[in-house]
Amino acid sequence: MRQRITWPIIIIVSALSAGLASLGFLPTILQFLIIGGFILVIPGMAYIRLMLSTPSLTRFILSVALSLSLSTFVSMFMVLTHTWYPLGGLYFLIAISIAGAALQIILAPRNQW
Amino acid sequence: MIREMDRPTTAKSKAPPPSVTAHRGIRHLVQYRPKLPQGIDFTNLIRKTWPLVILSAVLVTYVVSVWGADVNHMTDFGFLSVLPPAAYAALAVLIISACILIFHQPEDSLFIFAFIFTLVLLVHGAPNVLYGTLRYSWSWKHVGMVDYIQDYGSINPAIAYLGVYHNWPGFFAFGAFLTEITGAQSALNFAGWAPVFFNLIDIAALLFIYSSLTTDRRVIWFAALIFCLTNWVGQDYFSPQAMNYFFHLIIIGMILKWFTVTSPPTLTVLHRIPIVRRFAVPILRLLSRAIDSDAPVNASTSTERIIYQGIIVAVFGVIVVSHQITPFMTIITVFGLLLARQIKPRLLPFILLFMFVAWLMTGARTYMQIQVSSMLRDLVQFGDHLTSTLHDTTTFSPGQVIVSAMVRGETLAVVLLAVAGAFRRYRNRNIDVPIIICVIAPFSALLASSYGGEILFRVYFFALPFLALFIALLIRPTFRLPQRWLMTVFAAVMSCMLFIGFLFAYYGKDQWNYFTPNEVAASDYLFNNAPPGTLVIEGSRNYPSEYRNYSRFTYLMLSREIPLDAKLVTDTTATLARWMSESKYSAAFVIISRSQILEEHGLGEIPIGTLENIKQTLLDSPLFRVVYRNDDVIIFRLADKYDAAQP
Repeated sequence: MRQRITWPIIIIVSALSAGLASLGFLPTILQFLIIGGFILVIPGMAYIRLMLSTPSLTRFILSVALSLSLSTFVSMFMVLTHTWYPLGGLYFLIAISIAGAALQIILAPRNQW
Repeated sequence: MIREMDRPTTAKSKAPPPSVTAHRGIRHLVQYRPKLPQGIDFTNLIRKTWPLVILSAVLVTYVVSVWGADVNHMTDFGFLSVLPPAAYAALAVLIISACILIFHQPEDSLFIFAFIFTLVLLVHGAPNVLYGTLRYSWSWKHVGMVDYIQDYGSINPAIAYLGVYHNWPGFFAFGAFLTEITGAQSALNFAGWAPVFFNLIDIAALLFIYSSLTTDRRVIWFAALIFCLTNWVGQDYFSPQAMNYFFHLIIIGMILKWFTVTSPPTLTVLHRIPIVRRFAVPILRLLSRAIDSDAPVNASTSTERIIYQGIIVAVFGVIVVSHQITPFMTIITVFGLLLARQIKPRLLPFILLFMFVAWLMTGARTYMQIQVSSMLRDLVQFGDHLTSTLHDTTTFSPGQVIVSAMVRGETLAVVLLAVAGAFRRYRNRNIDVPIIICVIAPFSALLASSYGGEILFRVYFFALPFLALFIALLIRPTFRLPQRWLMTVFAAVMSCMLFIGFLFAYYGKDQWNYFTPNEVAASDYLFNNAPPGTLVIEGSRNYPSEYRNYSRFTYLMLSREIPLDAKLVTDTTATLARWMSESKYSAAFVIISRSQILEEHGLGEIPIGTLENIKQTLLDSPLFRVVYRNDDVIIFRLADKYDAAQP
């Protein structure tokens, strides 16, 4: 059980921390580390863990690649559609990360809880 | 593909401890000893602690020795000239220790990673800390593009300056997004750490690639180390190519891991292909030798393979919208693997090609329409692509001639060592076709474009991960102890030699790649105070330029105009005054900086002393007025315009 829900919890906590940090009450360096860390790993990890059962190094590398790709797509979408609203983009990434984590919890086999 | 030839000997400490209770009866009584506290296993203790001790010593020595380095007194050899001997010694110890760890304790992955991490941190992080300003003039322009998207929230593909970035804006859009959501205000606040970040994620991607090709940890780690020691091209700064290189490695790694063929094609299949029909038998023999039954098992289900292809398409989508040359390199490599029948999915390469062409015809249409004729001209003159990268060194300063020779020597050494590695594999009856293709495929870019005289660097850059792998295979020792030590010594000496070449190549131009705080202050003054529609006349593009409000100004480079217009040298004041008084400009400035002059001295692209002569001529002329001056930069305006603008 612990293994199954550790990562979803990390994903949710990291997503919520990024959301809170975006409100701007933290020192800039801390805000950068929290949100940067989230952008770098979490959106990808939310779905890679859902889809693939690969070794942890592979999963981590693919998560970074997918996270950076998702963030670039979100920012490109805002640029090309003239709807530049970075915070909205961040909240979108937070939402899909939490959705991915929730799916991980829901779809985990019951006997492993 | 690369099998582990022999097994590692397990450490003595892992043998089961002798148990007193295992003995029975009288023997038990005879052998009975009162239970004493177990002694310390010093061998094991030393084995586990020496890396930590060395690492701490290296860090302390390097930081303490480098802390007081005066970067304002760099000579023709750049950052090398201000590094104290203790720093070199620390780096040498780090590399030698890494080699010992890799070949004798390959199971200590955490320590090996810590060594490579430290190497990256010291080599790529030190300039950022010591300089205090962003390295490379191109980094500043990339910050300017991020600043543009922050300001306007959109792009302008038809813009006059830096138009190429507006046609491939992916990286800059991401940069602007990151800057905004992290509250960083400007990408300048984090761009200096880009080389450390990109090198680390590249190493992670390389570990992913190498682990899909071999199970031998020594080869995996040593190839990663060699990559760090030979990646001198300097494409790791805050730039689209740095991020897309990581994505390229991920795609190639995924394909090599999950989509390579596990059995050679049959003779019937080869007979169906017209080109290879005549050579079907030797080709089949070659392909059979290329497929190693002991390669790591990377089994995946059909569902997983669909997901992997989806991830590849998504990641490639980012490459396509972010960079011009990286998608070409990815496609050419994937097609090379497909044509050599090394990978299974036949549709995937065509999907990637379609995505690339689709972006050229839509998102990058404006750029392609403007540049198509020059690109075609470039394509026809493919013979010049190689020579355009190899500069004529007769104009270089003496120091830069040495730097240039070291760059060429380093590149040649890497290629020759890799060829020797491939040959060693061949002698052991292994032909690593996928790796050979990944090395050769980037060279096809030489036919396509000169890429502004940089194409050879890019080819080397994209081939390097696989060249490094061949070098690691060259000196892979067996597990017999004498040979292992012999190879460790060889590996350490070779690594140190390659690192010397790297230091010259990577730091050798830092005399002008470094910008002083004075230069940044002058640029701040110029780009914050110049009204929109200003003409900025620059000695050369090598200074902190275009990083703020860049689209509001028109730029003119003296270093580019001087060879075209002789009057600029013979009649400097009249020519500049004529340009600067044109009514279409709201204001006009001339900026001449220390780094521009140093670059001119180093590379000699314009006659040495030209910029200083222009500066002196303007100082002496009553037509011009100095509006800003510090120890490193001087900025002029036309006197009458300046006086008229004063309240």
